Amino acid sequence: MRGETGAGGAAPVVVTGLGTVNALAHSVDAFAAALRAGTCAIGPVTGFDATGYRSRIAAEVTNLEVPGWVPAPLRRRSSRSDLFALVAASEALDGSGLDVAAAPERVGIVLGATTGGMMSAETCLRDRIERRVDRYRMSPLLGTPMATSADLLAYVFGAGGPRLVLSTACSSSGTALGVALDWIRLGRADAVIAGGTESMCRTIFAGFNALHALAPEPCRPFDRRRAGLSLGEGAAILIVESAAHAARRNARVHARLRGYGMSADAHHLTAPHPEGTGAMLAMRRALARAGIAPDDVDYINAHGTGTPLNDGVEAAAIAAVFATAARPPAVSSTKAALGHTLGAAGAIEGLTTVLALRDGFLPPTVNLDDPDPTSGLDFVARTSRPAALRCALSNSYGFGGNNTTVVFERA
Amino acid sequence: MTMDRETLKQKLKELLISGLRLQDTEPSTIADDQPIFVEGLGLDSIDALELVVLIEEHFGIAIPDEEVGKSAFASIDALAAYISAEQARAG
Amino acid sequence: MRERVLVTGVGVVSPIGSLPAFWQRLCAGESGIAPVEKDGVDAPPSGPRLEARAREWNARDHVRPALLRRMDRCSQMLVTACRMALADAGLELAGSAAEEAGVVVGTAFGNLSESEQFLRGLFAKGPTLANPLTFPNLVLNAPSGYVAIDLGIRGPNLTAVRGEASGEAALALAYDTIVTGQADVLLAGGGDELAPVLRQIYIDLGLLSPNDGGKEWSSPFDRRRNGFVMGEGAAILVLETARHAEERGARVLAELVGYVAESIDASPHDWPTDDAAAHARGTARDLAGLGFRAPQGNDGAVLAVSCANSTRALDRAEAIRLAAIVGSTNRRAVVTSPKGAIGEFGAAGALGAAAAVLALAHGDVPRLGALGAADPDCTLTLAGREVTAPRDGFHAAIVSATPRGVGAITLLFRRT
Repeated sequence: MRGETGAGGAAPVVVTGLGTVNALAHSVDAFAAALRAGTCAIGPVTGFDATGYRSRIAAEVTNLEVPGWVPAPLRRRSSRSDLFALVAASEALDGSGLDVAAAPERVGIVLGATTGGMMSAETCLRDRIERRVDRYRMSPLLGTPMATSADLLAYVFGAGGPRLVLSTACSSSGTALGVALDWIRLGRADAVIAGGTESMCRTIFAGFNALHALAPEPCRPFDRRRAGLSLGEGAAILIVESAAHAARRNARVHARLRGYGMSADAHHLTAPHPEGTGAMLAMRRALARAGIAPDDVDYINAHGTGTPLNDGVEAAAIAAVFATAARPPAVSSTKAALGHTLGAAGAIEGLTTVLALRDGFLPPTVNLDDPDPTSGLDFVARTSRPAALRCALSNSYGFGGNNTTVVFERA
Repeated sequence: MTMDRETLKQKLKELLISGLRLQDTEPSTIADDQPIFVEGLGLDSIDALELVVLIEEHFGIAIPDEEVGKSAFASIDALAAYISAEQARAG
Repeated sequence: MRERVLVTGVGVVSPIGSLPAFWQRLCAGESGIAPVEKDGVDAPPSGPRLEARAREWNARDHVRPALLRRMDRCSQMLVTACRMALADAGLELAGSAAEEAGVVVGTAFGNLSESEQFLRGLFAKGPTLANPLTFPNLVLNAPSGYVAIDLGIRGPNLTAVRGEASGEAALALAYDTIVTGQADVLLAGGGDELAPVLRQIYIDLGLLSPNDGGKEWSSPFDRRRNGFVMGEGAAILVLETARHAEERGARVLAELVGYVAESIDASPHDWPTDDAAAHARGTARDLAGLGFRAPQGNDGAVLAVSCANSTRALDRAEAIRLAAIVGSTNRRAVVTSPKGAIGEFGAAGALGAAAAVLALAHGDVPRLGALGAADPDCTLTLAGREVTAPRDGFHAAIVSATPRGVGAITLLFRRT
């Protein structure tokens, strides 16, 4: 049916390592178990004083454990989002068995992020406005720029290949997985540490609050009564590797990364195009570039934020793209469990999609009680279902009106 | 603080222009009964949210939900009437 | 066989103006550095009196009023640069062409001014009165989103963040995006704005010239350099597949041959050490793989546009690194940096790339106008005021970026 190579005979690319830290779990195994169990990690905000906000809940990472071998100065200077990336990458590299030192220049790093060390920068600004300090100091600001997450990983793990941080809002790390794929196909790297990281900050919380986009109760994507999104934080890293390189070292393959597609709505900075033209274009491009037919797709991990507008447009776009399929794919949103992790969402949801393919289950939309029937799609509500899946998509859409769809296939 | 209706309307127009950055618009070109949203000044839902904030900040008057917003933001006339009524209610 | 990537248009918003002024003044060694303009927010009571503000442009001349109202300064600069670049390329993107076109922008901090204002509002007035109008502008990809909305471009829409190498990183990403068949046309480059809060941070951290109390200026590779001057601006290159450019009979300015990424040992938060900088072997080898070599004998001249920004450590490292790539005391390899003219900012490399393209197209040299005596250690052929353009122009140009955290990026352009 499908050849061993991607579209145009491009070399196959696989996922050989997985790592995450998020509000549900601090390891991939625990995350997979929590997904199957249908746990929701959204609870009261503790990272800052959320008094006066429409919503005071989020999915926060608590009790982060940074490996003891990380040098103290780096630990001190790194932002919370840098450390999330470090912990997730450490797990992913350990599990992959990849020997970075054997050919450091052949290992790249591409991450998605949207706010970097913003929380720390906010505190610096507030302290200076309120004259608690009379000058900015270097140390708490070093981790502010988003590029430092990738620089930290390069330094700590010795990866000397191409390095990039993408910031395309909520699609950032979905696109990062795609760039990793391109780098391998272009011969720029044999393996890429790819993913995304995001930590909570006041700016984002206050901003979504001001847009009336935050749900007062844990978000319920695709529910008829959906009332907005919940915010979250965390990181996920996938080791994306050329299949040939992985085979040479007998690496465990969790899934294949078949392709991705990008588009722009060119419509509005925050509102999706009402007809979902960008969402459809990204899905169609992803399928075409992956060389996969709609009939082969069994599952879609949706962007599914829980806002009335996004979920309606996305569901309609999915229904349109898969209108000709014998059986449209099952759809769910991980954001019901983990909140919207913005720059990390594409990677965490890519990881979720890989686990679904590898372990044979449909991850649930945990707070979905009353599915919106408009699109006629099969939403995986409340509890996970066992299912042997062949191919699956992960959708990520961002402010600015940009859309990315990533295609994975069971190994 | 209360002010007469014409002064209030003038102030609202100025607030609309500065708060929503309508640099190319003069207060005199906004008709009192002109629809503020969609077909009127070309504003959208984010502008509506900003206008809610501006009204609360400058007049201390909350616009509790979308329904109230819809009628209050129908025109400068409607907005001035809403603010006057709320101010009168608050005594 | 990879598709060739051609540069068919350039758009610039900068402290020395837009095209053609940008190019004429760079070659004349003029600078856009001028006394600090009052900007209302925490105007610095002490510290630098000089900065490089983008000037001689009015966003209203280029951006539709309905969009302009919403846009932050950084987005305005980038949308303007995109419109100028498309006009320069003689290209209109409509219908299916807009679907096969994309935007790849690099920025270090994007719209930092409105981020500061948003937070000041939040701290002073609480969350209920936080500004919903500016919040969407705070994402780093707001400029690329606005470009897509303004021009109706529906292909890939990407924003790259690589600190001081953000412009180069975006052009590298754009190259990959085209050669993987994801767009026929990309508007690629970057922009950053001069934000008051960033200036205050730089002042407090002692990074700006004159950090030694001496003369305030920006003079890359100069023996007396003492820190950088803040700048701002945006530059966009129209990148097209050779097939697309040929079909429409486009004027070609240069070819983007490719790029090389190399990591050099350094802390994630600092510039490379001198020793580390000497290890540019990976870059030299991979550039050779792209058909580049340090010019010898009768080889055509090469221009190297460096990221040197008048900071002691960075310029020294760049001098060592470039010597390893183009050779020291090589009269056929001329080294320059635009930072004396436009100041330093995250996406300044996009303007450096624009300079490289213009040098290939027009044959002249962007000069180091302020250069007095070069560092005694610097053995490069620097583009001082007295340097004349090579008689046969430049046949290749590299754009070198060595950001903090040191994932160096080198772009290679060739005359067509």
